[in-house]
Amino acid sequence: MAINGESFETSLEKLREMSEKIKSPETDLEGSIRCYEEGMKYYKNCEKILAEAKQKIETFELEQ
Amino acid sequence: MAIKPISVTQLNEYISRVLSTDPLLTNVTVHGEASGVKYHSNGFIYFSLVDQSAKVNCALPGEYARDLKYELQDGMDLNINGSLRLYKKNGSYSIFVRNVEICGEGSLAIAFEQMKNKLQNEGLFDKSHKKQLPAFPYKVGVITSATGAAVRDILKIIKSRNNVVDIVVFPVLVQGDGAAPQISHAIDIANEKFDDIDVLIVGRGGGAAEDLWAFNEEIVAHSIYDSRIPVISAVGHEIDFTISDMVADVRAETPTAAAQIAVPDTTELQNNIDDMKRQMSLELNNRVMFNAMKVENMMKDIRDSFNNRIEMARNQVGSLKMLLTENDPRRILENGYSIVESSGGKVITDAKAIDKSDKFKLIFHKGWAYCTIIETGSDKDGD
Repeated sequence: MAINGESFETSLEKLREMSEKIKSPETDLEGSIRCYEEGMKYYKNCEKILAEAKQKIETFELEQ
Repeated sequence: MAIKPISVTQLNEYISRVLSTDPLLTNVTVHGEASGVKYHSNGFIYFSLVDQSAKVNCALPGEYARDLKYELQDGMDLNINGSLRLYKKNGSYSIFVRNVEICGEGSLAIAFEQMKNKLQNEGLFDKSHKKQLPAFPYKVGVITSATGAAVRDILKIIKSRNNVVDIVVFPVLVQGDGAAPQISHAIDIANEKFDDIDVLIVGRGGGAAEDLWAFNEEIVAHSIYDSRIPVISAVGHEIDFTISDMVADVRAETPTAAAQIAVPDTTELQNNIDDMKRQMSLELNNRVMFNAMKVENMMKDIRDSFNNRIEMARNQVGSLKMLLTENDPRRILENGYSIVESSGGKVITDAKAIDKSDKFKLIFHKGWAYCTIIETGSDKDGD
């Protein structure tokens, strides 16, 4: 169910990382623009996975 | 007439026949406490069943011993079912046991402690073996009764929290004979056939201690331990502790709690990522504004220092002009002095330099005149 090869978990982790990095005093303006662009990419990935939810519930009968 | 004496062998054979044909004694259930339990190398378990005033020997053959859910221990309260057999050699009888049922919480506690110690020694509860649950599972396996409250609670909670995750229910018996093998089998199958299941919930709703027993059985414990998929154990209520709980990667107090642990709330996640997005936008805006301000300040500094330079240069030019004006030799002409120039434009400062044939220009404060020189001379001191 991963989109663009990135699972939700990875995307969420990267989004969190970018949203922290952009706040760091060591990040310069250009760096923060890159953080923003990358963060937005992961945000869209997360959002897409959440939005494309099609929950499936099935029963697997065991052969005894 | 007296009966003819019979041999001991005949007597014992007769009694043996009576015992093995009596409808009550061939299927009798006896209640008592286990004593002198011995596991024999021939597979039999030998023990005595005692009460306050009597004792009977029992033998449990290997094929039935295998079905025991727990190891027999002295002091356990048992109901045993079987038939009476005579041991002809020494004229004693014993119960040939077919089924053993443990009675009472005390006996269960003994069996539980024993299993716990055994598996603990085998390393099944080791913390280092515990797997981390995925933060965002895509498929959850639920191993429980198809008809119990647990499956309803689990499905309800998962659906209310998360509409992304898929759910596979593996219906199994959760109590009674055959429950433990089914639970164990379901865990094995989930691992073998579903490489996309991220987490398993194994459990059932509340019940009496003996109803939860399947989750204390060794076969279930080993399947949980061997599971590649992380397992959340959810058996009974908060107060119920089972072997499954101890082997599992995570123990949930109830099936409802297991569902909450297994899947994240997607609404909350959406809010979280929206928050992060907002923070990023805000941060970027702040940085752009901060940098624009910095640039603006620098430009202002540049403009200011440029203007200062121009102003300084202007002032310098002004003062130089004033200096020049003040020192302009023609200003003295206003006081009645005049300048004499030769026709070649040379200013005459010494009468000796005058050539009388030349024509001279007199420059006044206002206007000029040409003249000729009649006579030259000097003062007494020669000036």
